[in-house]
Amino acid sequence: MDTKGFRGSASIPSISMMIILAIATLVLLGWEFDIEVLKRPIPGLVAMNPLTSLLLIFTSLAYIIWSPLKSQRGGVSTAISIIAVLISVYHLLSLFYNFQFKIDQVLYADELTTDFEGTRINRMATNTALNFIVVNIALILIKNRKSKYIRLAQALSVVIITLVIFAIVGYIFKVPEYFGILKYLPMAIHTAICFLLLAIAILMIEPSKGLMKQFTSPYSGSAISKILIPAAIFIPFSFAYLHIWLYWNKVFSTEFSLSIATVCFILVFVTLIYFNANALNKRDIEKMKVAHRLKIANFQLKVSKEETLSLNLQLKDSLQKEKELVAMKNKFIAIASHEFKTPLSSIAFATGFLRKYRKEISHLELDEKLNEVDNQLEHMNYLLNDVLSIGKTEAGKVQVSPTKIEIQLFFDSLLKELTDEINPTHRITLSMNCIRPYIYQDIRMIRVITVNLLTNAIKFSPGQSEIRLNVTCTSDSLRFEVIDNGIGIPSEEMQDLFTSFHRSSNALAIAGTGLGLSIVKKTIDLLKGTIEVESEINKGTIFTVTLPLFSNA
Amino acid sequence: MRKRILVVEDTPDLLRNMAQSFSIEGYEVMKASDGEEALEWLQNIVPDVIIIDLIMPRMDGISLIECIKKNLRLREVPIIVFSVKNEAREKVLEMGVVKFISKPTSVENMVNAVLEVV
Repeated sequence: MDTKGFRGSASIPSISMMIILAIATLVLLGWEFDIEVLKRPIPGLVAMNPLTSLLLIFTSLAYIIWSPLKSQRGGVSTAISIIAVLISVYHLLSLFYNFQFKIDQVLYADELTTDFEGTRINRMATNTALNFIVVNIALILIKNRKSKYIRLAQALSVVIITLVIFAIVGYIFKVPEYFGILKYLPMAIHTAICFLLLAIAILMIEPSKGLMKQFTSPYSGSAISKILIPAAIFIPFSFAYLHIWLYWNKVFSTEFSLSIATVCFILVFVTLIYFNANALNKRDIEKMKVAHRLKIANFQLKVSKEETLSLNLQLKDSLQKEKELVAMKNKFIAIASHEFKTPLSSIAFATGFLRKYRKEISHLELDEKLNEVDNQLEHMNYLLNDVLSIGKTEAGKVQVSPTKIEIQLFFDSLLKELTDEINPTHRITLSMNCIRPYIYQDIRMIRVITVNLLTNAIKFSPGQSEIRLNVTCTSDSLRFEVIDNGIGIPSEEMQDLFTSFHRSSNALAIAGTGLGLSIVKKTIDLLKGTIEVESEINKGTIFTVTLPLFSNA
Repeated sequence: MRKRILVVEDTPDLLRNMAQSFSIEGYEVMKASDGEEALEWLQNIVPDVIIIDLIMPRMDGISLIECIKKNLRLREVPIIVFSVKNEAREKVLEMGVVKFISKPTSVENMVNAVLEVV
């Protein structure tokens, strides 16, 4: 909250109290030196009782002693207030019960006996005494900074203001009752002004707390109230005065002057209400505009948030892909090092053997060892080719180029090659069912597919001997089945079957890179063919490949 | 009496060459190309040393070592593991294997390793 604007108002109580102190002192001087204008500024009205001026001095001092350092000297200040209250209470009681000892007749007793207002001796007014009680209680209360006490003190100030205004207005309007039945009511005009100042001072001690909060806050209500409160005091007063002035000067009848005052009243109030409404509406419109702008800003924020989110998702996605790639590479390195080390260890052992024992073996055996080394080198070459071909197909560098294939010849030579190369543990049975002797297709690719499927079938059926290859061709398609009685593929591995470097959980003890089926799948995709798998654990696996054929080369 | 050695290795030419080396060095050699074949030999014979590969079809090296270590008759036979699977070194040494030789290795290395053990 902006307290800066109210810092100036903190001096209002001090200034008011100083003025009160000055007025009361002057009045006492007036009594001392018998200066009529100080006792009674308006001739014909009551003078300020010396006790009243003394109590005013007490009250203002109670504040002045306390105010500069607030918390300190609160005790002295409170004591002064209590004395003022006690004196006032005694005075009230003496008024009601006609005590012999009249406390307001102690100071300047001689002067007072000659100071008549009409036929009445100058006495301190009942309401003056009441006001002193109320004001000093308010002062004591406000020193305790609890908000409920502050509120109560401020409410008491409002009571005083009401009473004082009643007195002042009464004087100005020359209320006849003040000179008749209510003649004990009037307080001296400067007493009334002093009480007004006292009440205002108390209200302004804590301007941002209690009841005053509603007038001093930075919100719309307070801003408007700053205009409306003076208006609420000044306008009724001025119209009422207009009315009574017209009445006094006998310009119009009392009824007519009252009508004029009423009309003016209505006009001014409606105008005030109009401006009030206008100001409030303006603020509301401004508020709505701000709310609208806020809504738009919020929306934009939301949109950009969503954009950031989707960007994040994309980033996450590519990060995930990157991670998978890295994982795959690591897997490849691990597998490849195992796979390459196996033939390497064969070669190393064979060459070491030859160096160490060449004198103890025959020429025939020596040739055999050299052949073994060659075979292992060739195996490494195949491995490398596998890796390279995966790299090529993944990079999209492989082109399909169909040639004429003599189908029976192709499969016969392929099987011979395989059974020669691999140890003769397995026998491959070929069954052909073709409507014509040749087809048009990419011969290298068909080789890759069949060699991979057949070597897999051999590799994954240890202890079995039979592999079957069934080839069927129609005018536009080639279909072949590779059937083994091997270890089978677990159903949970099926979805990763064609993923590069993936190895089935039951195949880990069998050497391999996890590239064979990946190469097969990629090659079949290039030829726009299909591959199907049927498998049962420890019973066997059937791979069925169907490839479309070209009508010519 | 000649020392007896059981070689368990699934790569055929490596198995053959190892067997031949040890024969020349004066051992009596038995060959097995996987764990099951090795167990067949071990039913009747207690060798002086066993050389085992880890990655093999049917029964792999780890399962074979477990079987041997459970058998009262065989548990004191020194085992040498000869494998590419370097990450399994700690595990097999904990299982009671006396030596882990990483593939590839020289003939001398292998012969010396066996000499140290028997």
